[in-house]
Amino acid sequence: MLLNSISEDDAILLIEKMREYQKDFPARVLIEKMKEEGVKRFYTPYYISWEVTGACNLRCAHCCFAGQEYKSDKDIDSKRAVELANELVDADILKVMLTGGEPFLRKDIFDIIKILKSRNIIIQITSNGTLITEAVTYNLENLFNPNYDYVQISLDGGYAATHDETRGKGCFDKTIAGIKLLVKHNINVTINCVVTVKNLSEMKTLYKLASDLGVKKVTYTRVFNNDNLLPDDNVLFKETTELLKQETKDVPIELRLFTVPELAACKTFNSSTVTNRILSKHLNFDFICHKWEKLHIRKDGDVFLCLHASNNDMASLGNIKSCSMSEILVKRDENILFKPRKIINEKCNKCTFVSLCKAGCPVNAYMKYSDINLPDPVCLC
Amino acid sequence: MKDIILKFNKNVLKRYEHNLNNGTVFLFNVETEEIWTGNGAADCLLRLIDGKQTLEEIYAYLFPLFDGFDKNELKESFDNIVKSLLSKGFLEGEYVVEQHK
Repeated sequence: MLLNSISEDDAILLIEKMREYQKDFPARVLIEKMKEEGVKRFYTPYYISWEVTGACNLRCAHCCFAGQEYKSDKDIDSKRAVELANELVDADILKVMLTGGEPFLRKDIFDIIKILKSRNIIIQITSNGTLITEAVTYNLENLFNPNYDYVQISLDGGYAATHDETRGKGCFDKTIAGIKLLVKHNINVTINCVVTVKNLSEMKTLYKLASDLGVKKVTYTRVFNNDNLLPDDNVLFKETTELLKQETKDVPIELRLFTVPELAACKTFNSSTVTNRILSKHLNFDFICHKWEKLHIRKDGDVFLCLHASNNDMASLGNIKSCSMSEILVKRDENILFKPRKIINEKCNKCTFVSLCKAGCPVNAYMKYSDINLPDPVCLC
Repeated sequence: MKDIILKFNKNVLKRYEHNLNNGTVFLFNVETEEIWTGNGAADCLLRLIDGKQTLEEIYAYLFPLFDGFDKNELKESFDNIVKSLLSKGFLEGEYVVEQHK
């Protein structure tokens, strides 16, 4: 279905906005400088996402862990967690995202943060916001750097009814109270909304609510692993264009709504003008994803190249409970998923859009075909 | 300067890249976006800065790692690094006050 309710120029602007994802990363200037100086491959990743616990006080339908039974006894124990935090400091990691589950259920969470902050590592905590107490904010206020550390709170609608439908009755009020408490104590807060068919119409209302609460940024994220909740691309383009007209400098909007936004635009518009304008900006590309820059530590201790790879046990680089970070990094270098890809198959070679999708995810390709050089089986074309 | 306790400015990130020019250390001030670079020897020094040890204690650990180098030259080189980083605000220093009985 062609989208005729927004102009081609608006579509291009929207895509440019999506490509601004994480432009506010505090160490971006450093990363660019290192690349200018000649760093082609980072010796260690500079960003770690760490599921510090699998325990959560909620059971949200759209969560990537929905339906999973998990007990916190599988979590990395306190002694090893403290050791790991020190290893991340020694490896000169620049940013750690602490996630879960619900990180504030972990009793030693502030011990972990204290170690990471001993070397000023940038901290992001993702939380459902329902467990934010005076004690939690007191600890964060003492540990966080107000210039760049922050708590990301999940909000699933502009109204209580929508949010609580996903999260549970009473959650909206608790989350709003948590956000207010954090903001009151000068702790940076961002809001993340996973956009579904249920809350699509409330994107603008949610943004106004977030602005009134005094948060620093609002991120709208695509729902994964649940096609029933996924909005239609046409409607998503339209609603997002309307949303961006409300954006203010004080509360920037970040968009993570399409796996390959440029490709979504090309297919949605089916217009040679749009396609040519988009493709003209992608003449130089290579088939290396971000895998040298990140690592993901799953709640049970298995380490992966990224969150997506963590859905496949076979993609594990090892378990941090029994290996040190430096041992994991050696295994990473030897792992087939870490090699550069050579996309020489006929399908990709003939495809107009390969410069946009870069043949998709190498993990998906390897899981299906045992070959990273074949395209992602979930080809978007 | 030996009685100074050093710590990083709270806005400073450190990053060492082994493969760049035989090892390059970067210090980056997130607030000012200022960057300082040094070599592998500078990284050895920076790794020991923890806000607890005096510079003298750090040198006592550090110098034996540079066996074969003249101690006075080593001290001068490292002192220059420290002074530069203090003056540019990447490091902060606090002098140990002796307790007199």
